[in-house]
Amino acid sequence: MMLAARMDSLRGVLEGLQADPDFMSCVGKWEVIPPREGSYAPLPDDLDYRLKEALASRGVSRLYSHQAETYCLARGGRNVTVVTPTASGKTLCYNLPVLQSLLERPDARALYLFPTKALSQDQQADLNDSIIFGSLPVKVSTYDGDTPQSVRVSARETGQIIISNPDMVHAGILPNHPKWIKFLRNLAFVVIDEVHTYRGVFGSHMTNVIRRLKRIARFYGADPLFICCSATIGNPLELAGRVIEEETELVDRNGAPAGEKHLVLYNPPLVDRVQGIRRGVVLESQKIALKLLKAGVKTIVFSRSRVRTELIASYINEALANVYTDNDRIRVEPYRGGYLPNERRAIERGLRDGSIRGVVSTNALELGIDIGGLDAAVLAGFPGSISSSWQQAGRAGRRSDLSLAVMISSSSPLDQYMVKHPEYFLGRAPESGFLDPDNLYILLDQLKCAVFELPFAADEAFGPDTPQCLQILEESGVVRLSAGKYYWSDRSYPAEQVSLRSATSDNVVIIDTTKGRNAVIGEMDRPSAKELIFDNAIYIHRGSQFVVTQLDLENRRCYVEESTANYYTDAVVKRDIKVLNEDERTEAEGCTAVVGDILVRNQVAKFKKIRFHTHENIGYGEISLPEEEMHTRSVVLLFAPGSASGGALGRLAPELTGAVVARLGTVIKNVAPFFLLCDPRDIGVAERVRDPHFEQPALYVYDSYPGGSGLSEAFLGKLPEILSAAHELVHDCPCEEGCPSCVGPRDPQEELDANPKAGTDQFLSGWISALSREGVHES
Amino acid sequence: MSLDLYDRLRRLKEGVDAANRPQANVASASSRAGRDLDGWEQVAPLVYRRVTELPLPAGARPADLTALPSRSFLLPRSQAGAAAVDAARIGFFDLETTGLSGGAGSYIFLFGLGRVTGESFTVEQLLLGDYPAEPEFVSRIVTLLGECELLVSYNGRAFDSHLLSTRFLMNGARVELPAQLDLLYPARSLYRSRIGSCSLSDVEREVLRIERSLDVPGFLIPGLFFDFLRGADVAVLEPVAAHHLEDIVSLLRLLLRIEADLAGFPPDAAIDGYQSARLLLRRGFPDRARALLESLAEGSSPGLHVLFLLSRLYARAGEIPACEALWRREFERTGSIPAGIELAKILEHRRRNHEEALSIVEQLLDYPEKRVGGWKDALRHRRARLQRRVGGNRTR
Repeated sequence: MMLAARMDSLRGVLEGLQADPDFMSCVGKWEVIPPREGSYAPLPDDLDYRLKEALASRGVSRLYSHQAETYCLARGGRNVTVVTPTASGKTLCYNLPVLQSLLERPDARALYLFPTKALSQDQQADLNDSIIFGSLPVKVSTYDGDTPQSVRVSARETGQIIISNPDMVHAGILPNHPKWIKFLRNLAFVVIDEVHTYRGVFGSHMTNVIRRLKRIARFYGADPLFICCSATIGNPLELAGRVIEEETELVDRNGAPAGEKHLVLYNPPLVDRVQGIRRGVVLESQKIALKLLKAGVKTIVFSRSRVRTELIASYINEALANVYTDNDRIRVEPYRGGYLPNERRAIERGLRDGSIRGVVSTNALELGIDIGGLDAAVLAGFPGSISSSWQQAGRAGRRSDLSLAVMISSSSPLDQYMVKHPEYFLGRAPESGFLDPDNLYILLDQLKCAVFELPFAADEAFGPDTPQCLQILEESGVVRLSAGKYYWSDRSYPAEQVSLRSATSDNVVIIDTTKGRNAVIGEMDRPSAKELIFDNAIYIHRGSQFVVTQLDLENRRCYVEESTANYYTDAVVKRDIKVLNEDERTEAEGCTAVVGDILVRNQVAKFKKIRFHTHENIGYGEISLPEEEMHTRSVVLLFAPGSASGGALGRLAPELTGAVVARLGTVIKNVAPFFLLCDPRDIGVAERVRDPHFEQPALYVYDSYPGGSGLSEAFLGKLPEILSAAHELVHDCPCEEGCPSCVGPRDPQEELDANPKAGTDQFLSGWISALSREGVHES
Repeated sequence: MSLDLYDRLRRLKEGVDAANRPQANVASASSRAGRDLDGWEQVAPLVYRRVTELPLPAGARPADLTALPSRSFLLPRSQAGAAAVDAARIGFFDLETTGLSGGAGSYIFLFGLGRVTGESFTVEQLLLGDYPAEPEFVSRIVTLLGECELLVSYNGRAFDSHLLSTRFLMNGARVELPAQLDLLYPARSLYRSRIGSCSLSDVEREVLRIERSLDVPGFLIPGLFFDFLRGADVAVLEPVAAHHLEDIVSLLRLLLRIEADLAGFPPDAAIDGYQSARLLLRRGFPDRARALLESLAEGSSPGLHVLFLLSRLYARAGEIPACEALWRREFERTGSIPAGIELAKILEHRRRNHEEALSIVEQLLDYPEKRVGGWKDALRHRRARLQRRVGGNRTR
């Protein structure tokens, strides 16, 4: 479809919506962001003629200002952090200086790191497809867990650009660095893409992996330059600097032009005023997406779960189903992580070449993969963070064209808060990322790997307190001190025992056994498998419906058969916590803190059968699966009567006790990451009005990392600051009854008369003033 | 109960319990000079050497060994077929390591090289006394290897040679390893079909018929070295050194055994004649391979793969009558469909005997459905073509 015609169609849809009183009455805010001119720069003078030709063949005759800026800085020997949204030519920012250097000096080498195997493989495919590399004498190789052995040797020996991921570098490349000598000796560039994902525990591991990489590069005489790419977060420069532990220059003025952008916050209408029930987000997003697709607008729908992704895509395709017009020639595909790589590749290609007009995706498509330009983004529910929202909304909009992003609120209190307080959503800075590479648990694990790679001189530093850390390793028997050096002296391969991520990477493979077939159709991580593909669950894959005949967790296999049921399934997940032991009880800050081991259990015992389209609950089924258990460390705060905290809690209206303790948990989750230098996902909180073990109100703060990650211990150490910050946050927050920035929005399901935010404020104020009255306290 | 790391760190920084700290894995100043070890000669600080002279394996005479390279199937030969390596410069080597991963943190602690020296087999073993001595240890290994034209190992291709290269690199030695012969692959070719797993200990037991008494299990070996490092008497390493020595001697025994099995005529029923023939072809001994296959073909039930390979050899040499005889004999003996088809092919394309070819194909098509089912289409196609040719000939 011609550009003008397409734009007319989107404008037509927008005008149609604006003229529709039913639609407009649901709109919380319709924001128009004016178009932005592009800011350009000529191609650099020193560019190799072959590179110029390759760019010309792709239609590139000049650069965006930020691409030119990055090129200058990198060629000038400065580390760079590039912060620009998707679809702004980010890859050229790093490819240009790297390629130019490789053409000048064919011996030089570059390492490209992407956060997941899937992303790095997709990048490789992208690089191979793109014309720019076809004509250049540069060898690009992917090196990850899926790379066949025969290719590995060739990649090591002759690959000039190696595309990999942190896990492979950690467990495959660095421990075998002598095999990589040719590559490491000449390592000139390290590109870290999506650097904003390296936060919390994962980010802390990554910093240490980079420490090891630099250490080994130094051993071979190399000192690579770093180019980091980040999405818009609160502190990209700081985060990148903490990951690579060097200074970087910031490039964040986006030189790419942008068309006029419409941002609509939409709240589905009430269907039952009395009970306050609204139309569901699944059906609403399907309707809006359909309207856009039928008008010829290329649309992406982001949904919050895999199941919803499949449902929305199926509903859209059913609505389009028309044999006579071949579905109006509109092809809509679902997209999520569990698909096979060739399926994902095909969908991305279809989006780029226009044969696929619409895609419904989980947040898998939020990050970098090039899917061409889309004109509209429909967010089925608030994605959970401000920065994710802007990333997803940012997927719509090409160079200078009109674009639309609609966020449709679900009935959850958080979503409802967003649409009712648009100034909060629009005015809020995106979240910042924190990490703590010197967390002792992480540091020691990584130090083991570093010693395995190269012996340590007694005065060599790897994070703080290295001599004492090495002594701890020596006492545990894996390291030997001899003639002033520490040597690895154990038969094990330490990198194997250290996982960079809290989730295990054991995926369950999904196998279609209809009519004797035996075809792998997808995969899923183990914990999700228990909740989504239990026996008798309905599994939807790219719109096709299957029923699970057997989930064999031990062998990581799930067998499915085609099905035509008229319902889908939704597991009811129960979470609970069991105290395993108490290591230490401390009276601190007017409460009792108990540090110990706990077991966090997720149990799926039942599932609901939900009819398609009407979404009524038409029955239940039983599930018999072992619980998903995580053994970890926690600190439990107890508010004993007679203590400062217990007294303050007791003075509240009784109906508020549970709600306030829960809100304290929410506030802590909001505030603690700043002090603990972790990601909110690295800690879990759970409240108990009357805890079965402690027999009083309790708040658990635990490490969401099996075996613990040192955060709950650190929490205890920072309790005074965290408490004070929590109080300040609640007390000074301008909201009335609670908002996502302080105690969380008000939840009508709680059925409270009193104001929970005021209650929390009262609790914290009472607690803190009782503390200062009592004078000095020891931990 | 998890250790409270923060607490431990704090105590270490404050110097608390410095006096009581366990120091098991710290080399004391006095040990740096290297202690004397019973049964070992210290050739450099913390580098030890032991030389053991052994008689040649039973049944092997010195002259046989000197002559081996010129008669060997496995050892490298020149273009003209002459020996390309001197028997005295073949090094039989093996390593004992601290880990199996081959990564940068796996060390070689025991290196052994055995060579035929006149009437004996002399094995030199080098022991690493502690990690700081590695540069000197590695340089001695390099010297030993420099005296060899060929290295013989078991699984050396996948493991030992990589580990050697890694240790060289880590110690700044830029050395090319000599040519290598890894006996794992010929051993698998000859013996896997009979004995299954071909680890050196399995092959030693099942093929060489050697039972070691009181041999130290492999998985205990790194631990014994770590005990030695921590101050245990060198006697704990005796079983390791003995095991290591025996492994090296077995390399020589195995080489001789495989050569004998490949040269033996008729072939020993205990070896896999087919795989051996393929090995011989790979090594450039087509005549020997052929003789082996022919002797198998005359046996009771040679197996189609043997016949196919032999037939291919005949065809390459242009010996069509031999091909025909081979398949005719098999077809007459068993009436098997593949044999019939091969015979028909030769008769049709090489002998132009379309009538007989056709009659064979008809015969096959008459077989019961169960047997001929999957072949029917191909056979009918062949029959149609043959009928045209026979018909054509008649009209001429």
